[in-house]
Amino acid sequence: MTAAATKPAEQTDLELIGVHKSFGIKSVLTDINVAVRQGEFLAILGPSGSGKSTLLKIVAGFERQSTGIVTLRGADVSDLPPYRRNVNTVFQSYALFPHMSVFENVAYGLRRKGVKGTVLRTRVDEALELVNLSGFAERAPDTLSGGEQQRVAIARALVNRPAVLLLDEPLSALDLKIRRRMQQELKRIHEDVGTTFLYVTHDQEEALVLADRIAVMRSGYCEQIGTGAEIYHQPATRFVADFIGETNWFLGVFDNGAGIIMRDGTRLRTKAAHGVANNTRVEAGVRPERIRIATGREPCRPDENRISATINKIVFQGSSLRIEGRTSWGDSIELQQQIDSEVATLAAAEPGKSATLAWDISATLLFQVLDERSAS
Amino acid sequence: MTAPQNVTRIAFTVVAAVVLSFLYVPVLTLIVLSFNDSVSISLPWVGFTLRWYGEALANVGAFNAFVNSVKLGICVGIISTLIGLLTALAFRRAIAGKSLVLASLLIPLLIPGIVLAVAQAVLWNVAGWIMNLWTSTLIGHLIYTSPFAFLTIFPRVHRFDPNIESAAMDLGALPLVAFWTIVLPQIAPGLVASFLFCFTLSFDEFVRTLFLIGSQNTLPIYLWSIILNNPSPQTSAIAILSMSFSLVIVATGSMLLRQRRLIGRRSITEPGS
Repeated sequence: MTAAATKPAEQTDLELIGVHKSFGIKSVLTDINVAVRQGEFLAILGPSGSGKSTLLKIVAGFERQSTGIVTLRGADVSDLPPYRRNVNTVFQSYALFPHMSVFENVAYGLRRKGVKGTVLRTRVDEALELVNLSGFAERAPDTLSGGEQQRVAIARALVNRPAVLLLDEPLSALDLKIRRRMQQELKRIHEDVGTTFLYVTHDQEEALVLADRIAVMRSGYCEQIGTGAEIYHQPATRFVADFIGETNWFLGVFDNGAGIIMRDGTRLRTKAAHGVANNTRVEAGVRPERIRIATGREPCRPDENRISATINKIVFQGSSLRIEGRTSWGDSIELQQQIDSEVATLAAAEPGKSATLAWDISATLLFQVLDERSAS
Repeated sequence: MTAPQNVTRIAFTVVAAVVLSFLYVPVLTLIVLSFNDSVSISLPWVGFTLRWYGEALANVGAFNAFVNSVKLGICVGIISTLIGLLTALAFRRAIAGKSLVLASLLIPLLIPGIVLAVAQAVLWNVAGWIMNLWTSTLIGHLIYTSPFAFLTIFPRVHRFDPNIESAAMDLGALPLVAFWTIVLPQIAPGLVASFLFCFTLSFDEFVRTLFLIGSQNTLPIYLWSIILNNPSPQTSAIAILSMSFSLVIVATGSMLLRQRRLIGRRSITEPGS
């Protein structure tokens, strides 16, 4: 793959082409190809050890990729040190300069570029205003709350007008309530400044809420890049399906004509079968909220899978119910029902009773059991 | 209930009193005797006089020895602080044979001073090098103080979040600029402490100096020679003056540190320019 072939110059702020990274014999990143569009909010989502932070360090210039190219606005920056790259980072630990005021923290990058006097003051004030910290200029970082420190870190980075803003799990040190508020805040800031954001997180909800697109990482591989909806509804791998949202998994055998055959002969149909070889072991998946309880009287719809199951437990969760059961072939199954669904369907579900469960054929995920990597 | 507590408290008080007496009674005795108008450093109390202090201050030999000690102490303080700083910075990275390097750095702490002193004196004699204040003595002191400098500075450097330095570079600072504007102000108290510590160690050092100084004098060597030859209460006056000097240095140092912190605060409340 060549750089020229994949570069739509005006629209791409950041591109990683065939990036590999290994420390000694340990491979941390394998063949990463990501193009981040101008103004896009891209989340890199993955569990710890998936290589997402290394990826960010490579873009910032703190690590150098073993092979591959990193371009910023079309220019290869692979060999540039951090202080020559037009990107700025918001660190997980904030990394504010403790001996400097908020003003001096934010002014630091501009001072390095020789910005002085009223221009400096205006730009710092603007940046502080952007993060709603006007009036905090004279404060010392250690007198600020976690959320305020976080916003100083964002202002300190954005004041330099970077091509891409890199955020390394910026909200992970905050408690849930402030985290929620900061998510809204980040979204607003992103809309206000229109800067490209590259956002590393292990929190799938955060990625879904914030990002235009999500790149899901796993042990150094990029498993899928797409919008939240794409990744949720059409996960490319079993791992992606598991990492984002919950999924019921059933082991079966794929039959070209009939669909997926369960241990007791139940057939599940799917629309995700292309490329799956006949007579191979597969895993079928379905999201808990896609399953409904069908009442005995309603006619069987052609575009639905229907199975019978025993209901074990019903858990009240406020606006919804979680219903746990066991399928006719012995796997456990969970479904999520909105409280406001018809009383009739709820009445059909009672612990100990058997029920007919139904879901759209298109909601059936299908993954071949290939090797350790995709099966685990 | 309260009886055992009282016993414990009394026991603590007694132990503390005994320890403090052992520490300070000799010094107090010396102070008292330095004001005694008697020709020997002993009781009985004859009368109060400042004569010995007058003589001590007028003593050219003592003054020269004191100046030597101060000059040497400053050099030892600066050089060993630099060595300690560079070593501490190097130890932030994963370097090959780290624990071996650390051990070889700290072993001088475990070797008795007299052994190292004799070993160095033998080496200088065998090699035929000139032994004086600025050759053998300086190096001998540096070998002694550098581990202390490292041990004083390293915790500060180690505690320093490396991301803060990364953040400076991320914001466009060259590595040296990042070090100067971000790292140095953060670890400065450690450097000042290291300087004061090493200065005091050098200023007070006797055994190593005795073997390595050649024909020159530092204050402890001078005191030693007059105690051997011609002890008078002047000796205790010199000792008291030298101790007061050390105390003033340490007090000034800790005041400077506190002031620096205040200045830091003030620049936070008035971030002009």
